[in-house]
Amino acid sequence: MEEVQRVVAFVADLAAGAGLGAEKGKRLELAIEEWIVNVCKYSYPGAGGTVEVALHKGRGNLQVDIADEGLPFDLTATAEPDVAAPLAERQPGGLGLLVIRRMMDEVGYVRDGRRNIVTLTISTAQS
Amino acid sequence: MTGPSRDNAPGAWTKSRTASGETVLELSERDEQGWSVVTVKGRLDSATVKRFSEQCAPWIEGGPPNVVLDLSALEYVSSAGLSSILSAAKKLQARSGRFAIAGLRGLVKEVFAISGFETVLATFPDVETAIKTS
Repeated sequence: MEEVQRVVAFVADLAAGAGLGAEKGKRLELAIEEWIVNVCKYSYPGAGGTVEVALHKGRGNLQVDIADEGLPFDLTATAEPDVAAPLAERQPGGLGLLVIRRMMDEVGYVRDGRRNIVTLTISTAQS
Repeated sequence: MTGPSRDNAPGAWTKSRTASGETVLELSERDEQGWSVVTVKGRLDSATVKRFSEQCAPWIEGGPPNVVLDLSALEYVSSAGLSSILSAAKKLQARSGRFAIAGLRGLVKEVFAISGFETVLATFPDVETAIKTS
């Protein structure tokens, strides 16, 4: 999982260099971490795999594309966990995808041949 | 105060470092009015959560079953951190203990709100209020 944090830190540095403020930078870090952990845990069962990360600076936003060649998975189509459930019924999973959706201004997904491509977009305007 | 002896000396600090050597998680524990106050500083993420769980185990699974996590100096928490906090809360519940969160602020507070943890767990503005009210 330390490799995950290296990727997160790498993207965070690029984003800061592209003008993303500290507060929004943490939101982006969180979304990146949640998705890359998800890929590590589920995309390549029983085997290793690669993840490609690309950052694009748009007009007033940053877009991060994260591609993997693992099992098909559309994060935009998954149901959200019941966050109102009492403690005894709460399960540990499902929160990562929820956090991604709330931290980012837009979350996109396409299946391109053998690749999942997740696009995370965040406005660079001061919040 | 009587109870099982602790592996960690009162007030002892433990630190977690990434492979690059940077310290990103600091934990300390102190006894206060029958509560174990665990102060968490830095980041609770996929890299530090294992260390967090291991180092909190003596306080969660032994000693007085009243624990308050002081998160006022926590800068970042991901779902991995939330899962470990949920696990701690459930273990204390199983011991008929009390578990409280104090000092939520900024992005950490927002993540707790998003996940529903701000309502499903007992949260307070500070440690003193948590101990007095719980």
